[in-house]
Amino acid sequence: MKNKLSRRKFGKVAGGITAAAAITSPMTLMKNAFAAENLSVVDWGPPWIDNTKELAAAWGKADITWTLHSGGAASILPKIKAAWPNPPYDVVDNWSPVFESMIKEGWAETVTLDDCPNMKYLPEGLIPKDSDGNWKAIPRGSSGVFFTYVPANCPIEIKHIDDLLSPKLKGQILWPNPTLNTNLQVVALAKARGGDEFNMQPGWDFLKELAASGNIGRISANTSDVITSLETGETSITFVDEGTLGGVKGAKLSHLTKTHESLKTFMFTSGWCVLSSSNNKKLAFDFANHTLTKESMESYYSATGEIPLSSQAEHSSNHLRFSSEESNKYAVVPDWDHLGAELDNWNKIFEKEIVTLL
Amino acid sequence: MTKNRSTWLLLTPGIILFLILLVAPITNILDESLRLFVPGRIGAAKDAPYTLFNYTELIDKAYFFYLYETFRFGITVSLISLVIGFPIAYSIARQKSTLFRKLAIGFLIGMMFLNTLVRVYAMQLTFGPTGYAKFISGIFDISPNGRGYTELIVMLGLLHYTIPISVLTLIGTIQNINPRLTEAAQILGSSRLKSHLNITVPLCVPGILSAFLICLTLCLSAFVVPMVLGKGKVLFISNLIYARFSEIANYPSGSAVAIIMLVVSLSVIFIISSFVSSRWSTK
Repeated sequence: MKNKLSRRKFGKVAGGITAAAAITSPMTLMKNAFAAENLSVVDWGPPWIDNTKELAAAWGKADITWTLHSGGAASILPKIKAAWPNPPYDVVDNWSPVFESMIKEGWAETVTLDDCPNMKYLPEGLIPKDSDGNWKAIPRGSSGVFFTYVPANCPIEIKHIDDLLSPKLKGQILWPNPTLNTNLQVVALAKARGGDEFNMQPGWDFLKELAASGNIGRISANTSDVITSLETGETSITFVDEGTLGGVKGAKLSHLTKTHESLKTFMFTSGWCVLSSSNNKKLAFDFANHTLTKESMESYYSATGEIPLSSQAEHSSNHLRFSSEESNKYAVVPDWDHLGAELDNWNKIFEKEIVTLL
Repeated sequence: MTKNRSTWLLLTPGIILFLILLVAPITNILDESLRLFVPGRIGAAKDAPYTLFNYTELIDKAYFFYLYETFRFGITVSLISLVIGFPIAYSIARQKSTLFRKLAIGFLIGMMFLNTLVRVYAMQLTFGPTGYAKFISGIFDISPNGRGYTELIVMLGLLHYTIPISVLTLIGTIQNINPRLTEAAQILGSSRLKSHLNITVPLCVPGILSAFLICLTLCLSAFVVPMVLGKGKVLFISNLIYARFSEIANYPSGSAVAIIMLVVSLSVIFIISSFVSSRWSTK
């Protein structure tokens, strides 16, 4: 008989199937188990990552693989795009302008109150949405980007934006490059000279004067530059967000948020965006929800200085607490969509017209 | 036929690797550089139309400035590396003690195993505001936050890499030169300096050229050194490429800058190699 099934043949086939099952099944289980109990989170360096690790430890439902933002917050976007539709991240900590990009690309998963019940304590108007009104991110904090300085190291007292041009400030200014703060620093200069984010020429002219004056000691490219430069006394004046300043421990800062209306504060929100590609959405939303509890929000505020958006949490950041009158005078909510669209052009203007003057 | 077949069999894996890891990515970059970028998006869309805009916008004196700066640093640092590296390489190559030679070469190789970021940040600490910035800038009567000091530190950062490499490259060349030639010149009345300049150095030209080109290539592609030590004031072409890819997500513009840098670098290397080879070719 042809194709007679011998004991040897049966043994080989059965052994092969059993071996394959033995190898595959635990591996599949492990993979699924690993995927279910492991979350991949992208966050900023200190103080954010330190605080998030504390919150994650208290949450304790999964192991977390951490990735740090390198440089500006938008630097994660090319990495996500390169790996899409399987980027190795579940949750990304980011802020207002970058939320817009992620929503446009279709990378942000829709979130509802069922996913994150603690979102009921957040002001609905500050939750990033898509064009259909779906909630697309989970904001945690609100803060400002503003001018600040170290009085102990600064040769003069800063009372007006024009003080930046003082000849006594040679090398004292730490100026962010355009990719930091979505170039709000030049918008601030523009506003001081009668322009805004739609009319930036006054700001560029001001920055050219500043660059030519020799007062810019360093161009910062990331939060580490800011912390190191201010702490070591290399520079004493900068334009930066509250959260980054939380990492400056060795220098006493004076925040210029209510000093003069030429020194504007730009308000933003920051928080979590769960990627639509994530295989761990439920876990990711649960983690995000945990970070919105009263205790978590107050811990976040204590670490980063960002004002907790949750109505349950308290804060004492009076320099970012504006009355209606103060808000009109000192605070600005820029058009983030416009900023994101113009950043490429502004970066090129910076390269062509400003760096060559430094 | 058998020999040809064997040759092709041996070359094929390398060629495949070359095609996959070099030719394909460069082709992708070239394609991306010709695509239209819509600000606010991440890279060019898959069906983005072709355009030369990414190249034409680089025809600006500012970008010539960045090219000039990159090559200025590269050529200056490479030349300094040769001037410092050659005597070191000569003394190591001519050491009678084998142990000393091995230790010296091991030390130089060991230096290259140190983590790049650690080395660069160590330099920033040493020559920054918490280190000797004020002392060194005081010697030259310049501000520690000024451009002059920044350029000096960037050069030191690059030399930190290129000197060991130039020494290692030159050791082999010098070891291949018969020392008796120089001795013969000295016996015939030539001074030490003259004999080395007329005998040793010309015979080392191929090695000197290799060392120079290796150092130049390293400097042109340097990214971490200008980013950390340059304080945002000294920018190389690599930093412009990084900003476009990582911060702005303008892949087409970044690709265009990369292609231009590739073409210019290859052209410069070709010109230098041809000039030196034609002048100092051994017949």
